[in-house]
Amino acid sequence: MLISIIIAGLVMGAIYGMVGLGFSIIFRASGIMNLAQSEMITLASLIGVTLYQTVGLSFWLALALTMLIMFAFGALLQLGIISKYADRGVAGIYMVLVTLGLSKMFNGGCELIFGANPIQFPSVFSVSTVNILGAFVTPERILSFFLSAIGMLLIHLFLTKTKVGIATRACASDAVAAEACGINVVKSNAVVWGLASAVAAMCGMMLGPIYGAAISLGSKVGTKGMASSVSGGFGNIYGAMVGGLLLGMVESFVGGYVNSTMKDMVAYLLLFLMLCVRPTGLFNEQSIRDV
Amino acid sequence: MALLEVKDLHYFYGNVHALKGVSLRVEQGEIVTLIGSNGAGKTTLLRTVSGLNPAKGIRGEVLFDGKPITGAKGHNVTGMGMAQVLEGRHIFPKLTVLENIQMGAYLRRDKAEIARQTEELFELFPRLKERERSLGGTLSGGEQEMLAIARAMISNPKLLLLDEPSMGLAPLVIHEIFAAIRKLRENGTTILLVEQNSKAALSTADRGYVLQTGEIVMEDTCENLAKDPEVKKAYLGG
Repeated sequence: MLISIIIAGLVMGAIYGMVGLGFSIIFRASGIMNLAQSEMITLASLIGVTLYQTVGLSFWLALALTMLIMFAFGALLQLGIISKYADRGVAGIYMVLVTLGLSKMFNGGCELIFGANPIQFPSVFSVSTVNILGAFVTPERILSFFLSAIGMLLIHLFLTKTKVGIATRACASDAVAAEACGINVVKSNAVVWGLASAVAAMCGMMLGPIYGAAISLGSKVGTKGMASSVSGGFGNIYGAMVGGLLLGMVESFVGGYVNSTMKDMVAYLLLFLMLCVRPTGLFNEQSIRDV
Repeated sequence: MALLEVKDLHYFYGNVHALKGVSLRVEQGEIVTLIGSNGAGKTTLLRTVSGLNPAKGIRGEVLFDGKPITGAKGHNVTGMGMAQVLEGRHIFPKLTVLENIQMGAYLRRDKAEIARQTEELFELFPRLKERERSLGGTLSGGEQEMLAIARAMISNPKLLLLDEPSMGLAPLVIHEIFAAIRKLRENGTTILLVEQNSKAALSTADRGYVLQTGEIVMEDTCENLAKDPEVKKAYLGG
């Protein structure tokens, strides 16, 4: 019992962390709370399941292609819409409203194209469960955990070791100075939005086998991801991961030992508590190196 | 042909007419200074020339290396060979000294040459070498100014715009910074220097312009400007 609760907590925690990461990287780059991020996950899972099941691609190819499509979608969204508002000097709070509007439009669009009924996401592996220290876990969940870890590592390497990645951090901290360095700030932000959308694609493909691909998927996990990133320190990518793991664990323990209907409230309880005790989150910008 | 030629340049921040028909030129190999009091429009002029101010407020013409660049985006202007050290230094506080310099070289592809020039800049500013792995935000004001200059110079600019390099620095550090600026010129960099510290500026530059409420009111060699009674009274403290 304990082992399976811990494993479930780690798996969901890692996914929440990835969902939170999508919010965090956009926030730290453009200072915008992107409420459309949740629906990016919905859209990605529906595109993913279409490529995987309907088109009949392998899971890995479908994953890669979905990430690619979503990257382009996110980048174009920034170039075509978000940057236009930013150019006109639209204040942050209205930008949030723009993203809220976008999220509703994405959700409606998904319903129009893919229908309102959940689509069964076919399993990825032929084995139905794996025995880990006496706990039976679906291999898809194990895959999700490792995909999250790899995704996190790749994003870390991108932001700290590549010129383009470091440039996104430069733009985030001082757009004027970045422009003076010869960095195209608008393009750099497009890379960040693309990256966040690719992360959403990964989340959609990991959550599909767990919840099924459905238009409600984004709203189911989006706020939890947001809670993860805020409790970890909004805008800090490592904080998002730690916040996600914390939330996943607490949720899993509450679901296992207390009451499974209370499980979903826990995210918000944790968020309220965290904002009350430590408004900057676990890792604020000052306490650890900001990436 | 002048390296930089500004012709009858106006700039408007909404209804505020900040530059009122400024004309100036910078020849290859010169240090030209622009002095003037707070709010005279010095920073506005630099930022308008370098494309960091929104293009819609610009009237007039800017020629760089013979080509019109009026209203071009900042990153494109940098790509054409004009680097800028911003007022207040604007280094990236959460990036290391080396990463800051790497960002200055963003548009370059020649890694080996960048590494060689970085070492050269470290010779010019040995204190940066000692702190190459430190975060920019932990540097002292003088070190940050050095880093800002190094970050601009690593782009191999034809023209370097320097905005108030002495701001908020101790006299000894100012001396060090201006010695470095003279060295850059010896190595062939053309410089447009904006300063409130008129004494340091006039003793370093070849020619100077005096900017007053958005207009050029005087233009001469620095030698003559330093002797001018008006300039003495207004900018050199008697």
